Amino acid sequence: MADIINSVYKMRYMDEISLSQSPIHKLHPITKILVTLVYLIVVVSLGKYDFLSLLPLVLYPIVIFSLSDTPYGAILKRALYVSPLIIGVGIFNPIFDTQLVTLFDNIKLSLGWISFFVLVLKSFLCVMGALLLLATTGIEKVASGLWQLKVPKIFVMQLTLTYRYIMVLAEEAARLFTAYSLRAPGHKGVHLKVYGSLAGQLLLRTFSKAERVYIAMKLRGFDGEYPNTKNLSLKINDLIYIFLWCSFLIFARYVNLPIFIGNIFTSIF
Amino acid sequence: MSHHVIEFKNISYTYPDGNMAISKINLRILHGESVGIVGANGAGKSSLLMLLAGILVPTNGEINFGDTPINKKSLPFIRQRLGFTFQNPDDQLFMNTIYEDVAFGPRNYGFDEETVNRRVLEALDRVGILELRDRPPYKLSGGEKRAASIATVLAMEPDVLAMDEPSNALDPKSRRRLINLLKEFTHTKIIASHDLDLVLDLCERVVIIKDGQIAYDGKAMDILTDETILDNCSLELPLSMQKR
Repeated sequence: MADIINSVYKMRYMDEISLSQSPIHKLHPITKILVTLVYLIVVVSLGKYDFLSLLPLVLYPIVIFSLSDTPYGAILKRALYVSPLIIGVGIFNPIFDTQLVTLFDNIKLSLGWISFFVLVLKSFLCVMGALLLLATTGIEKVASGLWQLKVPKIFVMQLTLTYRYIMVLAEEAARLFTAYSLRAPGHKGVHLKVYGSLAGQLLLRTFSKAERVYIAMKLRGFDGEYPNTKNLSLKINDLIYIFLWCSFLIFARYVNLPIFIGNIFTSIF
Repeated sequence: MSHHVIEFKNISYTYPDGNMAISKINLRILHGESVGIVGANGAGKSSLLMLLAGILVPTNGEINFGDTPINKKSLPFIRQRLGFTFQNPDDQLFMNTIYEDVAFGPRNYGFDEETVNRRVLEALDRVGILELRDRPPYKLSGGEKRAASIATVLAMEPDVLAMDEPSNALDPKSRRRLINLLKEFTHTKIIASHDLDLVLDLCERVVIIKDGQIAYDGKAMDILTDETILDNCSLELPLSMQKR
């Protein structure tokens, strides 16, 4: 049973840290959604070899981490989950793009590797941006923020219901596995013969549980809208936050900051 | 106060796999009545309540909620007036904290945050779990979840309460608190339960469901003291009436 409890607590951790009261948490969800969106667009829109311009953008997650007191470990661990996918896709870059470029007068590096590192860093930063949004806002507030931004409610519902389904799926899987382990002592993992039926059961059970939860939501008036949030307006903190980050991000996008700062220093000295 | 008469007219329901759960039920519940629905396991009690809440659609017959027939269009209207608690409180608690769960209903109906806050705190207080309001549901015990699920419907201030096994998993004090709470609720109550003592305490009228049909329908005191009737329907006398 300790296994289920551990897994449930771990999974729900993101929901829990979204309930803290740091200055970032207290901002309006729309503010955080907009800044995250601008951040994602800026990161993604940088050139595929533009490693230097990408570096200052690491500042965003660092600042959010420290201002919101979000624990690094939890978010970094979750961000690493996408690494197999990114590495699997990006590893073709060094294979196909073998054009060499010289750095620091005598180090030769293929452009393929540079674009690989840029890709990995970009994905990492984007995932961190999204996770930090969730960690400081919580899925419910993100959904209501999106709805207030006039995102069609069908998309917002897809988001929240998928998120909920993942929880239902993982909890039910943990429960099934515990039940299995209690009657299969000494087995490590699930025996191949039983795998199919357990997986099938898991699907069926989570479908019916998800349906029941959805019905419970409908019975309490849920229809994808968040009418209660219609009148909440942005405060001065929100506007300052949006203005500062957007200025920084747009500046970092169009001006290569490391070179810019380097030029300032070399011109002074 | 509302003046809804709930009427099941010749209702039948067959599950997709062919299992006929409800067969030609006619039932009329007047405003303010307290009806206990009892029966053996699998008799059709939960199915009947789910038909009322519009979760299941009858294969035959119709259900009227006041003057409104229950159909797809009228469901939002009816659901605002019907408070339904599930057999498994886990299915009903899906937000991050108990407070959020209880606030979910009123918020969806557009009440401002102040009213929502007042309703939530009142509902939590009535079921006795005010101190658990910031706790996530998965950290609660079974009985605490049960109390929380009841609070979620109380906060909506419904006209009709339909409860499926409300006293399951409650400790004796919480069970007594629930009974006292329900006694104060003056609107219509429809309670499906195995807890015959609770039904005896709360309901003037009892309907026994057997194999999807109404076997007996009458005064609680008459039916729940008649051993022959109860035995016929795989039930026993309420515990308070049995000799030790």
